[in-house]
Amino acid sequence: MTPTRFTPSAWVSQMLPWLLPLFILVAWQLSTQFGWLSTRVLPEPWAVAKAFFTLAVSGELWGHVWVSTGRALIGFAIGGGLGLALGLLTGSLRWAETLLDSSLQMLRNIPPLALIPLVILWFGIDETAKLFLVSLGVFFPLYLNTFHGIRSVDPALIEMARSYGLSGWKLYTQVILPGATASILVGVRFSLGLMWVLLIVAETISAQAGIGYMTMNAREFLQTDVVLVGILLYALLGKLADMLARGLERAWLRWHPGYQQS
Amino acid sequence: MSIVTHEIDVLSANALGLPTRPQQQALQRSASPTGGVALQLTGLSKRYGERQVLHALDLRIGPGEFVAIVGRSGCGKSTLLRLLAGLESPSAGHIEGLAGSDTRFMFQDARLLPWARVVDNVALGLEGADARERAQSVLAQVGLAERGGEWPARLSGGQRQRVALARALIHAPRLLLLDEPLGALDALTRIEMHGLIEGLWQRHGFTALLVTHDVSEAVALADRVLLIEDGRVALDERIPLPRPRRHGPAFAALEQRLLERVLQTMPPDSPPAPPPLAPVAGAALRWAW
Repeated sequence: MTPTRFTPSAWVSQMLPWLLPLFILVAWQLSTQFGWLSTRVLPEPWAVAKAFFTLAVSGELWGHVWVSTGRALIGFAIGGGLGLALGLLTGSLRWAETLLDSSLQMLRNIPPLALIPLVILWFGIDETAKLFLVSLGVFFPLYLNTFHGIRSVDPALIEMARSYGLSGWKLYTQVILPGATASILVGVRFSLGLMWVLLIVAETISAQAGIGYMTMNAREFLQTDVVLVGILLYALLGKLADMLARGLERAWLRWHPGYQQS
Repeated sequence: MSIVTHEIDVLSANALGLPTRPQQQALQRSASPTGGVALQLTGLSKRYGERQVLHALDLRIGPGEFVAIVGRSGCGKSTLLRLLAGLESPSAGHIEGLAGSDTRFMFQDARLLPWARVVDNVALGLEGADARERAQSVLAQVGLAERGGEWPARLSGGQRQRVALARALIHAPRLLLLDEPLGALDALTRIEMHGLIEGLWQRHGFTALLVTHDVSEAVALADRVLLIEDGRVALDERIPLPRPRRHGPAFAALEQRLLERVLQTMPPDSPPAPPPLAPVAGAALRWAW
């Protein structure tokens, strides 16, 4: 009598994670259909799907998605680029660290969202305010992780490379930067997560277009289904950004046993 | 095949007026043995703060000689090697015969760049379009011709040290410094590596300095064994055994005598010290290899 362990087939184990969401979806649909749940509180999934379809066909949806994605990416490029550049600078040069790091650490402790009143005073409620908030939010994760990555490159490898005649730019591109990549990519993932959070808040304050505008507008007309479409879109875009970051990890950290696919 | 393409490379580079002479020289050097450097150390001292690690060391090493340096942990043997490599500078005294680029160092841990393929690790610091090709041919010399395209993380400890050996040899060094490179390997791999290092030394003719804890390893490889004690040369013994050396009565007697001499250095009144732990490489802590 050998104990047999429950080993689900590949198909079953692939479907298993979807079982619970599917169950919730069906329960949700039924409870709204039988009137247990007011459509004002939560519209039935089918209505959300229909709203999504209508918005997609009319082209309105894509306009909003496009505007939001554009804001997110421009903000990420500005804030993330600056974070990377300053992190490389302070990580590589002692004098830059002494000059800049303590000031940046002080700024880091201010939550970006606490600056909203000030940002509105400075920039009004147009595009600049939203880009500023997103940039500020994504700056710090990238800055901190880049700095940390550069500083934690194995000194034994640097010594080895120097004794093999590498110095300056070559040492930097062949040893220091690759050694910091894993940490920098952690920063990228954190930043991408924060990017959407900040954009959602910025777009809910005031906007003439974008997913946030679409949902706030729908709220005024009690179109709960459109509000849900907006929320789901944010979730979807967030997931996409994370997949992108993981793709980068797989491409740039192929050498790293921790990131290798079996 | 590879020789033909190589010649074309050099020719076209000449036509373009690119500097190829150093490459050609390096190639000739790696192709034919060029004798190692002769070293003359005079009054070489090193102190770290209060602690004097090397005491006015005087030493002559002949060209192409294979010298093993043995001694207890902390006797200053690794410091001597690091001074010769230029990784640190002496507090007093000087070294004659060194020409910076002709010296290569093999570390206790292989110190391969984990993000570079094996062949690119070997080609580290090389210039020119044929760098990879040359790296590939040196990899063949250490028996790893097939593994050039792999990541270092996929190799065993012994294979990594062979890659490190190839990386040192590709520069056709006239002085090769080996800082306990086999310390972390298992007994069988060590014997294999002894044969490999001896063969490459005979073929390339460089001067070799090997720091080791293992007296048997010293007797197997070296022309001459130095015992360093409190930063001074306490024993300078020639090993007259013919090569390739096999473990026989003469070998065993010599090894026994040297081992007894090394053990004498222990202060008589203190209990025997436990064997030193193998140093954990910083790399191993930081990178999840």
